Amino acid sequence: MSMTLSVSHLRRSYGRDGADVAIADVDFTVRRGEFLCVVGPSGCGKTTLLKCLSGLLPPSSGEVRLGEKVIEEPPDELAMVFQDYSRSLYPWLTVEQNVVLPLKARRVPRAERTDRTREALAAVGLLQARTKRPYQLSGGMQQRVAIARALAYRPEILLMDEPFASIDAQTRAELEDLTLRTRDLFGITVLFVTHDIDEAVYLSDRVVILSPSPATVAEIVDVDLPRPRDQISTKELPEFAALRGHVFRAVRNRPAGTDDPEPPEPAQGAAARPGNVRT
Amino acid sequence: MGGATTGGRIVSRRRGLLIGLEIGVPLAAVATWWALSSSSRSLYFPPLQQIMERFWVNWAQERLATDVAPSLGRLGAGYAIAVVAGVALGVVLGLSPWARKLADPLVGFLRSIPSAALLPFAILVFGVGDEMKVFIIAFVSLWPILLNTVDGVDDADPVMLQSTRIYGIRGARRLFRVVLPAAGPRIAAGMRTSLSLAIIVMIISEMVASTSGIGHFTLQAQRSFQITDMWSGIVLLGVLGYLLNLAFLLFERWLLRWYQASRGMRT
Repeated sequence: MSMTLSVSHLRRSYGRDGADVAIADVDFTVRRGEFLCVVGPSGCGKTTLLKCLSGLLPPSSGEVRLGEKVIEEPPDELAMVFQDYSRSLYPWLTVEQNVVLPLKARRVPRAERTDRTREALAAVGLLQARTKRPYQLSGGMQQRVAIARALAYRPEILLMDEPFASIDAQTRAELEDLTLRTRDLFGITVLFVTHDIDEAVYLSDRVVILSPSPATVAEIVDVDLPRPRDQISTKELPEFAALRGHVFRAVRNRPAGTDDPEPPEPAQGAAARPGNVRT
Repeated sequence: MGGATTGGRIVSRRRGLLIGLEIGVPLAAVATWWALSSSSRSLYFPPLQQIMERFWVNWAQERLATDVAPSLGRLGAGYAIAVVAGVALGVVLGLSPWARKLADPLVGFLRSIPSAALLPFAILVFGVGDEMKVFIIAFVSLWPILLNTVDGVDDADPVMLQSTRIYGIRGARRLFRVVLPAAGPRIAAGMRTSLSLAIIVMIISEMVASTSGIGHFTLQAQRSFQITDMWSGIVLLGVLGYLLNLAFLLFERWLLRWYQASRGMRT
């Protein structure tokens, strides 16, 4: 059924002679049916990584495989939810037309198209809004349209690029739970990129922690919290706090017990890196 | 809540005032013209009342089929050719940086030719008939549409194009469902500029070489000292220009309602 996505020795650089390295060497595998989160300090190359994984951007070296196939172009088995919903949806189309357009491109028969669109819109609770246009909906609802579009596409793997970063906290919690529910319902593998550590631990089966730029895999953490997850009770578990603290320290690159109120060194973050503009 | 209502009332009152001015000022101007010219004995400035009488006789009765229809036909044909060719060529150049590089100098030169300079050539090739006028209207209207289409297609949002790629939307579907609508606001801006140009060129081409049309009639009236007829032609051209622009604006607002709404330009 679901296929594994494997990333081996992925490297991506920009500029003349590849002087500006965004991703140095990244290696990991997304297991079938898994919910994998990727976290890292801002500007560490998460967006570049996701573009390489989806086939939007060719790697400088190394490869990404979906099942046996090396990804060179966005494969049919892959869908993606972008951070900026207002730019990834088409404002001249209705909600329903937005969801159905990729299915037409894949030549899904009409009856099946309608069924899949209705099913996906129902799953995100937007069946009532199907004749509206994106700009008539709130940000959270627009992102639900983008999720419905991905679900109707029936991907083997769903990539999500900081999908809730520009959504308010209340709606965000709702959308996190919606993502978990629909993922169970549709049985898809999810790779979820975020800079929010709580979100990563709450959602995932495993968390891949990236180093500061140029990115390498700093650590992979197993999250064996019980499912189904719950916004209140899961986050009250001592294991949640422990995992959250662990991931936090790993992202900040500081071992346990060495916490310092002042950052010991200027962060090698987004603002400092000139190449960030291009990624 | 109360503040918002008061704000809304102020806005609607201001809007009412603006609409009132938009209708009131032209009416006042016409009334002033009417009053000032009513006792005029000048050959050049006949009373507006006489002009309107000629206007009625000329444009509502005698010359509707012989002059107005040909003019509008030429305008429509030339403009339609320009829209189709401009959008089609613009998409090609907008999608292909290579084609754009090759075409850039030629486009730059051709669009810089003043339209009147092309009249001798057009008359030579097409004669003094409709073809000449349609050609020159189309030629002049082409460039704003072409250049705006190129920019609109070239400026397409990268995130939008990425989601198009992810979901395998290709070919004609990509063109008609994504690329062209995204470039729509720019294309419409080009079409609006072209419409004004097309009307001007229609009149000029009819004045220079024609046996029919509103431009032809207006110049002929002047040459035969039918000054009241000449004025009726000028008034008609003004009214036509205004109405065509208004019609275009309404069409644009309907076509691009998503654009205006998504930018909060209209509620």
